[in-house]
Amino acid sequence: MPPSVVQLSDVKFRWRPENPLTLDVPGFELTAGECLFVYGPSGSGKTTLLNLVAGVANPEHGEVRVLDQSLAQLPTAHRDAFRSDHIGLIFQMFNLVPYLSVVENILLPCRFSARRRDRAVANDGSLDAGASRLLGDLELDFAGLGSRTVSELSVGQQQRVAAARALIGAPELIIADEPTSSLDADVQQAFLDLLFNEVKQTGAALLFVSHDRRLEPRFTRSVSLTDINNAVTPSPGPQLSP
Amino acid sequence: MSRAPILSLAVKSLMNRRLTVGLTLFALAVSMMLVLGVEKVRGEAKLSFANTISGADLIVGARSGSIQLLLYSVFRIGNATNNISWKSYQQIAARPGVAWTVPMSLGDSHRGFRVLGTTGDFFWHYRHGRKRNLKFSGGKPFNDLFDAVVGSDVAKALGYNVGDAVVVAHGLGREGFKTHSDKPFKVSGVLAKTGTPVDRTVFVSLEAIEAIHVDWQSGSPIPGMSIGADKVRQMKFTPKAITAVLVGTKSRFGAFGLQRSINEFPAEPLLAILPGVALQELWDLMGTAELALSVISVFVIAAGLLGMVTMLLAGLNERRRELAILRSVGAQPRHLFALLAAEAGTLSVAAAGAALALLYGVFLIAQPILDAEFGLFIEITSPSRHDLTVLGMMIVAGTLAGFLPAWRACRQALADGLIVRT
Repeated sequence: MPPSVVQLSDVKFRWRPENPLTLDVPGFELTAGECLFVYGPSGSGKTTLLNLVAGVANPEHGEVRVLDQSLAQLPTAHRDAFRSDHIGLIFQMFNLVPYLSVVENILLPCRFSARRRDRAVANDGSLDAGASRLLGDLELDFAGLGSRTVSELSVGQQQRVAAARALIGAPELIIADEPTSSLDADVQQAFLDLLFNEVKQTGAALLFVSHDRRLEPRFTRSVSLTDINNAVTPSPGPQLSP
Repeated sequence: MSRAPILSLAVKSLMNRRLTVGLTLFALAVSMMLVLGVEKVRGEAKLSFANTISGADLIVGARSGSIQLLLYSVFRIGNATNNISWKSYQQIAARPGVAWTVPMSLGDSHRGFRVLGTTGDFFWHYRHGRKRNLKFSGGKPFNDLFDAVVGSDVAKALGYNVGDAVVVAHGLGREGFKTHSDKPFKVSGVLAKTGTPVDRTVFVSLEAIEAIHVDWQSGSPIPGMSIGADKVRQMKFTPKAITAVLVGTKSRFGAFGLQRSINEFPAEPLLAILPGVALQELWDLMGTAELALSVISVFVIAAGLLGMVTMLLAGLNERRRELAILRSVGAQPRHLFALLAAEAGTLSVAAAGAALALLYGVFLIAQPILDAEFGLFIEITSPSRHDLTVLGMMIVAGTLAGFLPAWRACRQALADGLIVRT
């Protein structure tokens, strides 16, 4: 049995004390090397789940463990450091810092995490070599794009740069929040190929959240949020909560 | 890789917002320049005032108060209570430590400007500001008995040029007093602007003061006795009394001994003052004006800093996503705090540099104008320790002012989490 990367046990969460529960998950687990597809309509608690796993939000009840570390036991600053050491994040769009070059964006985690920096240097010899290799793996041209500002890139290119940034320094957990929903169908498939390939190489776990079930067959396992989240009624009407 | 990376992020982030940042930087630089400029002009004005008369080591007059003596002898404000006899003057001039003396006789006026009877040495020995000599913008010192030299304000106000006639009035009133119309003077020279009371003075020779009063007694003409100018030229005049004396000593230290001995002068009660000390006392009386300038400076810089804080705070809302991205890649709240504080600090440092450049630019342009119009000579020097201290304090204040947006950025980032859906 591979080691557990993410483990939620009896987690209850609400954004404000007066609000109803947003998330009520009795059990959830993600193991190393696994590519998990989590789907659900908007309002099913996807964002909340990601915030809990990334340690940005704290559950009012239950425990979130990442790499066997209980996040609630860490002070805020340590949780931020823990996240930058072990978790790579990719968002839907506008993932990049507009005033930094492509390479500077990719190397951002190495500014804040010595562990990621050391691992990148250990894997590829130098930070630039690491960024260059990831860009190459993601079929982007380092020499042509590396020093460009990100606003000159297409959305598909931007998402691949964001993926490279999440992967640099080989974190154990990659969290992707609808990373393909702003991409065309064929670009989507290519992006997933590249992402799977990289995750396989580093042995990381991938937590992929989307509402688009057409992507589901490509993952090793899939989970419906409406199934595991007791706070959501199975037949969702229009909901306004985040 | 934890401190400098934040600074480089801050610089790149600022560069990304060139227009707003540039305008803010300019506003901040202008306010910093104003503070530096006001400080500099204040310092120079004080120096210039303290050196209103920098050539003389002592001023001697009849015994009164030191400020009173200074006021009437240098600033031509008020009147002497008493005169110095010519005999006493000659005794002082003959003292071994005395290098030179310039006698001064006051009491007449010309259309609102005081007339000073003195010797040609006045134009040599009088110094103002940083030991600057008097300069003639036209003509030369008086030569003939009825020659007059006018200060630049006098020339400007009355439209006098070299060669014009001047009629001196007896006493100090503006108009309507008895005049010395039978003995008109001719303008032989016009002095350049000094920013001192010299500008508002009409200079004639000591003998001329005696000459125009030769047919007067007790302040009015003797009836039936009028001696014409040509006849007067033939006569020899030795003043019986003068109002004050400028004394130059052979050594600076000699001035103190001489001062003491003049103050204990046996023949008549005299007072000798060190002009620098008396001028300093007088300046201190005007301390409130100086304080007002300092208060204005503080408000000017506060306005500039407020502008910067406003810009940074207003930018935070547009940068929510950027801050969330930074947080998602591992930036802790303290990093975001440092980022905003570094932006404020970088802006302040850049503004300080720009302020210095602006200041020197303005002084280069304004220096000749200030000198010609106000007689205030601003010496362009490298920034003084005081300037750098003021700049340093403004940079620290700017960085501290950045703590407010920095704190807001942390609060906002913590509230937003990692995903900003806007």
